[in-house]
Amino acid sequence: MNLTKVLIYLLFAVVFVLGILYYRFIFGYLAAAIMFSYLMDPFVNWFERRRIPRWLSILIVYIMILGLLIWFGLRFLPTLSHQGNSILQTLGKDQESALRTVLGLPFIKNLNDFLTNLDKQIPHLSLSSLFQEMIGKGVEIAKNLPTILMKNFQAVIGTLSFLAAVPLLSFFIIKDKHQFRKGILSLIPNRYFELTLSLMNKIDETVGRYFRAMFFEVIVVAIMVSVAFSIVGVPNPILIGVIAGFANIIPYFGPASGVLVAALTILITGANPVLIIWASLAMWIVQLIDNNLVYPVVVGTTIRMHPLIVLLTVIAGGWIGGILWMLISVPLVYIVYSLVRALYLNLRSFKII
Amino acid sequence: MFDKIYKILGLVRSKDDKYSELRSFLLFADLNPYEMYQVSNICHKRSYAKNEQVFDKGFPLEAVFFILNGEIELTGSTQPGGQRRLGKGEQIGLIDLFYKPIRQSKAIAIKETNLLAVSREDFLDLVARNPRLGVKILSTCCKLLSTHVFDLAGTGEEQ
Repeated sequence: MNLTKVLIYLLFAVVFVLGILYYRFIFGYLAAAIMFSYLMDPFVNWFERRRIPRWLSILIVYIMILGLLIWFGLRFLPTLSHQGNSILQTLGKDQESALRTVLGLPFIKNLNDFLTNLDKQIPHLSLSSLFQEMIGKGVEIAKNLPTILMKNFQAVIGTLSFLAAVPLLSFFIIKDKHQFRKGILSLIPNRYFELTLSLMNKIDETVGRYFRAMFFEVIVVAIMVSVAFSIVGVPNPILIGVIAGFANIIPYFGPASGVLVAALTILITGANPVLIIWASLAMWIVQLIDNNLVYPVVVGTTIRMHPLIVLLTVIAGGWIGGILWMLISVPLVYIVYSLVRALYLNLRSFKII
Repeated sequence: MFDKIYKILGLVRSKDDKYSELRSFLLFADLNPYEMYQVSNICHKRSYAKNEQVFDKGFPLEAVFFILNGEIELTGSTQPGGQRRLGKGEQIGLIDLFYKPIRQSKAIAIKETNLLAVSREDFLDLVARNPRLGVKILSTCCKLLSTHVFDLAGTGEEQ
């Protein structure tokens, strides 16, 4: 290579790096917009196959979603916030009285009495005071939650602008999907063209399938759990249903955590502890329907990962970025794994490595 | 005025030259403008230099190629006489596509060649999701296939 070539490549590299630096804040927006586009794409295609121009199809889908969101907001948000508030209210009194309320709950009271009794029987044990201290800490954390939300006012505004920008970006991504694909492929040398084609199809299929699957699973499971729990008589069924729906993204452990939340609510609100058994049964039936009817139809194939790997992945996700990352970690790892596998197999079959 | 409205709405009023390249292929010859639009969405233009290899025998079949101009030489046992040259308006890989997704022959550009590439999955997806379009394309496929069979049989008699 001569000097001119080196200089020109260097210039390109500098421009590229500067470009990334300049646009570094929008990668999150872009990722969310791409995810949203994957969710919307099948619906837009459905309309487009009925001879409606693509841009109009997108608008129709957007309006339908907006309508659905408004209906959902008017119908369920008041109930949701009411159910959330009733829990917060129990905990929201000042520290001492909140502690007393929690200690006064039937189940916890029994446990406390049992521990006090045990302390009397066995000298130097003092489990009871330890137990009270533990509950006190738990109450304190739960009480501070709304304050934490209020303090992050700036972040809330940021989230709102994010929510406004994503549909706009998605609009163009969905509308010019084919042009983007063509643009990327035109840059690929002939030797790697078919390889790239196959990888792009694979990405489209895997990523699209899991985003859509996650989305529908959350909604369907949330509805089913809400219905099942309200039939059984668990307090705050819709709130727990929504939590269980999101938790369901994590294979193996999600459903269990749904039951756990239900059990905690039953204990806190002082309902009959036998309800926990009924709640578990209801959850089991929901899982039965989900695994045998909903999942095979929506996704087709299951995430085949060993429970140990799932657990480790979820823990690692939690260390990176809290609950959100815990939820997306398993699909993310699975998608990356299957793409790397596809890349390797393709490189072998095209005799590139 | 209508022209403007059609233009704003992105509709096609009548057949125009937009898809003349596609129309030159037997497979897409009798598609309507909307179907042409669908096909053109999944077409990728590729150009090959003289003596450049398009694909080798045993490669996965990920794309069907349509020759816009130039000449491609195919070498393999499924070709009549073991070797065949294809030119403008002909397609490569359409018959292998329905056999298994592996190339049965090797393709090299004899001179500078421009091809239209359609991904195998996009192609099958298009056929599956658009029954009317699918029937048109598949029946032309059958026509091409029977021509190919008679070609093979013909050369078999000569040998």
